[in-house]
Amino acid sequence: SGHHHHACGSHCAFCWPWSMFSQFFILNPKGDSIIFRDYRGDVPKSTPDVFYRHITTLKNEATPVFFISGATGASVETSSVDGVNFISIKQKGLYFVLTTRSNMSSSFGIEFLASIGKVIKDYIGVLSEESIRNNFVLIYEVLDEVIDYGYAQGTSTEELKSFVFNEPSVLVDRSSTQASSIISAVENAITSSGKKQVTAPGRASSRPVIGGSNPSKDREGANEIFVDLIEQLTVLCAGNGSVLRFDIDGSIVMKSFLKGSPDISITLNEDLVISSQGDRPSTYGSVILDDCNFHECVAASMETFNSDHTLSFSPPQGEFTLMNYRVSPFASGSSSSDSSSSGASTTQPLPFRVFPFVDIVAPNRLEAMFKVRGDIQGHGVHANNVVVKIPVPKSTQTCNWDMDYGVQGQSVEYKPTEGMVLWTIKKFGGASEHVLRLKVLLDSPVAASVKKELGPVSMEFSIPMYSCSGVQIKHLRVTERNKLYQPHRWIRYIAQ
Amino acid sequence: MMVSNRCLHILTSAQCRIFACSSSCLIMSSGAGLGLAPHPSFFNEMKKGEINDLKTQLRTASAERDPVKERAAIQRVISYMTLGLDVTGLFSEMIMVVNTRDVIQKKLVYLYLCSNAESNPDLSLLVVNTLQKDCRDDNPMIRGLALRSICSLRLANIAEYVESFVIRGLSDISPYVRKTAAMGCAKLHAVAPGTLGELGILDKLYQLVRDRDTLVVVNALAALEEITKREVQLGNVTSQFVVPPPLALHLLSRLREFNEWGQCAVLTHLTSHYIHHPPEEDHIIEILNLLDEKLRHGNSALVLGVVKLFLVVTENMPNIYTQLFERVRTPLVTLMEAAQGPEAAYAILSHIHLMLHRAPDMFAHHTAGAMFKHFFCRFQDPLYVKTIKIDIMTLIAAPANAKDIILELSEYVCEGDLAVAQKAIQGIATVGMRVPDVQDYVMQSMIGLLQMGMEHISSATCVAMKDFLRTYPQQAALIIPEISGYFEQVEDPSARGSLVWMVGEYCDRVDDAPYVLEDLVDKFDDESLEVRVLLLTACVRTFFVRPAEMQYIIGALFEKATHPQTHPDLHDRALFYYRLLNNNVDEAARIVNGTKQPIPSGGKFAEHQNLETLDKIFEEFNSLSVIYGKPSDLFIKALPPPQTSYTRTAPTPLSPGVPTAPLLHKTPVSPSPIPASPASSSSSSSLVYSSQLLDLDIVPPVASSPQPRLSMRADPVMDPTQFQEAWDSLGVAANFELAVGNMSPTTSTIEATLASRCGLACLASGTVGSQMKLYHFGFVSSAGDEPVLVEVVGEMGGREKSLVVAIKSPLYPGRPEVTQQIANSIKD
Repeated sequence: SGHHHHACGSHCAFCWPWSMFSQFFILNPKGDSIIFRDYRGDVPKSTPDVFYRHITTLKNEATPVFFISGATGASVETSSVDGVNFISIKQKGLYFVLTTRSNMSSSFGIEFLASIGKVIKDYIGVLSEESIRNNFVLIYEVLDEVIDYGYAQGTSTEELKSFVFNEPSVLVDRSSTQASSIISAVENAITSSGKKQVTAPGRASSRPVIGGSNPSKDREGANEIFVDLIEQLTVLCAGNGSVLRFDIDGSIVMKSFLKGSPDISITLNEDLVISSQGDRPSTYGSVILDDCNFHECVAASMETFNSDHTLSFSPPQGEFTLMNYRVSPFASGSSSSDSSSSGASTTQPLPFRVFPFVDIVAPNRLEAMFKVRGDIQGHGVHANNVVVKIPVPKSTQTCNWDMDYGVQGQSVEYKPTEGMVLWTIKKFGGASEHVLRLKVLLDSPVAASVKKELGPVSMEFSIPMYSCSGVQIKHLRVTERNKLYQPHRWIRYIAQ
Repeated sequence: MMVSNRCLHILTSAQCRIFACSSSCLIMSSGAGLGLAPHPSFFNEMKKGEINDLKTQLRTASAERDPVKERAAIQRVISYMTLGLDVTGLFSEMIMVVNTRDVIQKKLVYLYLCSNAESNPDLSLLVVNTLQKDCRDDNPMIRGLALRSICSLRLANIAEYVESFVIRGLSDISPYVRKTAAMGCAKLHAVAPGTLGELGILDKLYQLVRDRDTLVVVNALAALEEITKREVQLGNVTSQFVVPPPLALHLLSRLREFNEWGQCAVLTHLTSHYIHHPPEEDHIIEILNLLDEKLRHGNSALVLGVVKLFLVVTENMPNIYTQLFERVRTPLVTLMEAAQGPEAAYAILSHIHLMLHRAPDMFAHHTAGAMFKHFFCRFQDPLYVKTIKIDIMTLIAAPANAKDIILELSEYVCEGDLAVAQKAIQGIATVGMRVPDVQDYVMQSMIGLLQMGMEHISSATCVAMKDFLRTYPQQAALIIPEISGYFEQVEDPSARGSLVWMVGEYCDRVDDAPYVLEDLVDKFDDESLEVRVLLLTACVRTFFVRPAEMQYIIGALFEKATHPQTHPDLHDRALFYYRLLNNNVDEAARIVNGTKQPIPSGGKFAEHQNLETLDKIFEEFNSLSVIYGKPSDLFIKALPPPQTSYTRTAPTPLSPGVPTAPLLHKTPVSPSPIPASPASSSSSSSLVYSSQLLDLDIVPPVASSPQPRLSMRADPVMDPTQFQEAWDSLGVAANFELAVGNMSPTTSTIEATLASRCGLACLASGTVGSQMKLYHFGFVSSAGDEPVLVEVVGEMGGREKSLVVAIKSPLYPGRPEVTQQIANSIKD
C-alpha cells in the first residue's frame, strides 16, 4: 500500500516553501470573478466565493494573506478549502488573488501578483474592470505564459510579446485630448488622484506598451521614455509646529516605449551620499540617502553606483521601478550610522507647514483654525490638488466652516461616516498661506480627549517638478548603436 | 496568592474557548454556504437557455466555417467559464472547432479543454489527435502550446500518448518547448505516476538543469522536486530531490542570468541544498559576498530568499549570524517603506516581527539610531499593517526610545478605530512592562487615558492596567484610591473583571472596597460569568481584611453563587471557598493570600511564551508560516498521491473520432504490507533514482474500493522510544472531546476499555493533579499493520469532566477513513 503520510520533520518537503500556485483570479469589488485561471486542479473552483465571503465578513480586519481552517478541533471532516491558502493584493479596487497548497513565500506571492498586474497594465493600458473585461482573451493569453502548472515563468512584457496575439482594445479616455506636452501629461497625472496612483499618469503613458504583434501599428512618435521621480513625504508635527518626524520615500519610476534595446544611463546628483553603504558626507549640504534598492536590470552597474551615481542599463519595456530610496532630512542621528550626521543636511525645507489652533468656546463647542503655509522654493513651482484631511471628534453633531474672504479654487467637505473634514486647495503657490476655520458642535460636553481627536491632520498633494529630498536626475542618455535614434525623454518630478 | 492567580489563568483559557467556538461557527457558516453555493446555481438556472443558445451558435459557426462567428462564440464560452458557470455541456461542440489555424482560437479552445477535460475523459480522446499534430508543428510556439495543453488535460487515460511527446520535447531545439516539456513531466507524473518510470526521465531532467536557457533550468528543478516528492509519498524512493554539490556551484555562479522569479526558485533550491550539505566556512563567506548585492534588490521576495539562505548557512557561526540581523535591517526597512502596496509591506513587517524574537535589540541597538520611527503607523495604513507595526513598536522599545514610542502609541488611541485603540493601549502597557525605566511614565499615561472618560478607551486601559500591575504591584498606589469611580465608566466584561481583580488584590488600600463589592454583589445576576468568578475571589480576599463589613456581603454572595442553576465553574468555586472558610478561617487566609511572585518585567506572561513554536516558525522563514504566526503543520495538508493505478499496455493507435475502449485497467491490488518508510530527506543519494524507478510494482490503493472492516493486530508491541518518535513526527489525524457526564472514569477503566473494545494497548498512563493522561497504541492489520497512536487527556477537576482524545497515524491523511473508524470506535 502507499505510504503517503505527511512526515513533518524539520525540513519536510511538503512544508518547504516551494512557490507554486493553484489558481489565479481577479475579482471586481462586488466579488464577481472577471478572470479565473486554474493551474493545478487541486483546489475547489469555489475559491473566489470563499475568498470574497471571507474578506467581506471580516471587513477591515481581513488580512491579505489567510487560510480558512476546517480542522479546528473536532473531526477528520474538513471543509473543502482546508489546506488552501489565499494571497491577495488590492489594486484599483480589484482583488488579485492566488491560491496555493504550498507553504510558499508570501512575498513571492504578493510581488508576483503585482507583476501580473503590471504586465496586464502594460498590455491593456489601464487596470480597470472595464478594460480587463474588454481584453479578457488577451489576459488569458498572458496568464498562459506567466505561470505554468503553478510555477512562475517570466513576467517581462517584452519577452511575452511574441506569445501574445490579441490586440489590446484600449478604452477611450474621455478626460483628455492629445497629450503632447509634458505639462498636460503632468496635469493628467494629477487628476488621477490617490497615493501612489500618480505613477499611472495621464493619457500619454496610459496607453498600452504593446501595439499588437504588428510593429507597423506602433504609433508614430511612440519611441519615448517617461521617467518619474516620485517622493512621498511623511511628516509629523507637534502642536507648536515643530517637526517631530520627516521622512521621504522616493522612487524613480520609468515607463519605456523605446524600440529595440537601447542602453540608458541615468546620472543622479554628484553630492549624493548613501549612508547605509558606509559613505560619509563629503561636503556640507549633500543629499543623504539612508538607503536605496534597485530593479533587476541595473544589477550590473550597482557596484559603481556608489562612486559615480550613474545607473547604466537596458530598460525592460513597460513600467518598472528603477530605484527606491529613503531620506530622513531632519533626522537628528546623534549616534546612528543609519542616518549619521544627516542633521547637517537641510537641503530642502518642508514644502508645507500646518499650524492648528483649537479653542473650547462652550461646553460642547469647539473652534479650530488651521493655517497651512507653503514653503516651496523656486520660481513658478506650485502644488496641485492639496487635500488637507482633518479628523473630527466622534461625538461631532454638526460642522461649519469658513475660509478667507474671496478665495477661489478651494472647497471643504464634511464626511460624517469617515469622521473627517476634507479641505481641498486646487492650486497652492510657492510662498502663500491659507486658513480654514472650523466650528464643531458636539453631542456631549467636551471631554479632555476631544482636543486629541482633532487630528492628526494629514495632507495629500503633488508638486510637479519639485524634489523635496534634493535628489535630481542630472543626465539621461539613451544610446543605440548604428542607428539614427531620436527618442523622446520625459522627466518629471512629483512630490506627494 | 495562588488561588487568585489561577483564577486569572482559567480566565484566559475560558476566553480561548469562547474564541475557538466563535471561529468554528464561522467555519460552519462558510461550509454551509459552500454546500448551497447559491450564487452559481442561481446563475446556472438563469443561463441554461443561453448555454443551449451557445450550443447552436457553435454548431452553426463550425458548419458554416465562419471564423469570425466561431471566435465570437468561443469567447462567450470562455467568459461564462470565468464567471464560474458550468460549461462542461459544450464539450462536444468545442471539440468541433479545435481544428483551426487561428492561434488565438486555438488557445481559447485549449484553455476550455484543459479546464473541462476531467469531466469528459472519453470525449477528450478526440482532441488528442489534433494536439499531437500540433506537437509536431514547425512553429516552436505551436509545439509548446500543444505540449503544454496536452499535459494539462490531467487525464490518466491519455498518459501513454502524451509521454512520447514529452520525451521528445525535452530535447527540442526550442528552449520554449524544452521548458514546457520539463514541466510536462511533472504534470504527467501527477496523473499517472507509473508512466515515466521506465524512461529514465529523472536523468533527462538532470541534464536539463544544466541547460543554457534559464527557464528550462527552473522548470527542470521544479519537475525533479515534484516527481521525487511524490515518489517518496508513494514509497518508491526514500529521499527527496536535493540539488547535489556540483550542481549547486553551477547554479550559484549562474544566478544572475535568471529572471527575478527564477532567482527566487534557485535560492529556495540552494537553501535546501545547504541544509543537507552544510558548506565549509570559507565557502560560506564566499556565498555571503556573492549574494550580498542581492540585498539591494527591489523585489522583496528575492531579498527575503537571500536572507533565508544567509540564516541557514551561518547558523553555526554565531558571530556572523548576529551581524546578519544588523546587515539586513536597513534593506528590509527600505523594502517596507518602498512597497508598492500595503500587502508587500505587511509581509516584510511580519518577517521583521519574527526576527525580533531572535534578535530583540535589532532596532534598539545604538547603531539603529532613529530607525524605530519607520514603524510608526501612517494614517492610511490598513488595520493589519497598523496592528503589526504596533506589535513591532512594543517589541523594539528600549530605554532610549520607549518614551517616543509611548507618545506615538498614545496618538493612536484617539484615532477612531476601536481595534487600533485597544492595540495601542495594550502596547503602552507592554512597553512599560518591557522597559522598567518608564513604568512611572506609562502609569501616568494610562491614568490620563482613564481620565478621558471614553468607554472603549477606559475599558481597554483597565485590562491593560491589570497586566501592568501584576508586573509592578507598587504602581497600584496611584490608581487604587480612584478605582471605585471607574466601575461606572466601563461595561466591557473583561474590563470590569480587571477592576474587580484590582479591588480584591489591593483591598487593604481601597477604602470603600466593601461598598464597591456590595454594589456588585447586589447586581450579581447582571454581571458576566467572567466578572462573577473574579468577584468571588475579590470578596473572599477582602473578607480577610475587613471581616466585619464583609460578612454579610459574602454571605449574600455565596447564596447567589451556589444556586443550583449557576454555572458549574462558579458554583464549584463558591463551594470551595465556602468550605475553606467554614473549615478554618486562618488556614483559608493563608491559602488565599499566599505570596506570589510578581511577573518579571519583559512583558511576557507564561501563557504567551512559546519559544518552541517561534523556533519552528523561524525555520520556515520566508513562508506563509511567518504571516500566520503558526508552524506549517497546522495549515499545510499534503494531498494524497494519485489514486489511479497505471498498467502499461502497448499503445493502441488512435483512429480519429473513435474513442477506443478503456485504454487502461484499474486493477485493484490488495495492499501489500510494507513497513512505513518515513520521508527522511537527510540522505543525499540523489542520483540513483533511475534504477529505483525501474521496479515500480507498487500500486497505491484504489480510492473507490469498499471500506474494509477495521481489524487490529492482537498483541501489539511498541517501546516508548518508538512511540515518542512516531508521535513527534506525525500530524494529528483526529482530535475530539468526549463528554463523560456523571461517570468518573479512572485511568484503569479507560485502559481496559480501549484495550478490549478498540484493540489499543496502553503504553503509559498517569495522573497529575486533576489531570490524567494515557497513551495507547495499536496496529491496524487491515491496513498494512500501520500503527495508530492515541493520546487521552482527562480533565477530572471541576464539574466539567471531559476526555480529550488525539489520534495520530501514518495512515492519515492518506486514508482518513481508517483513523475515522478508530475515532468512531473510541467514541462508542
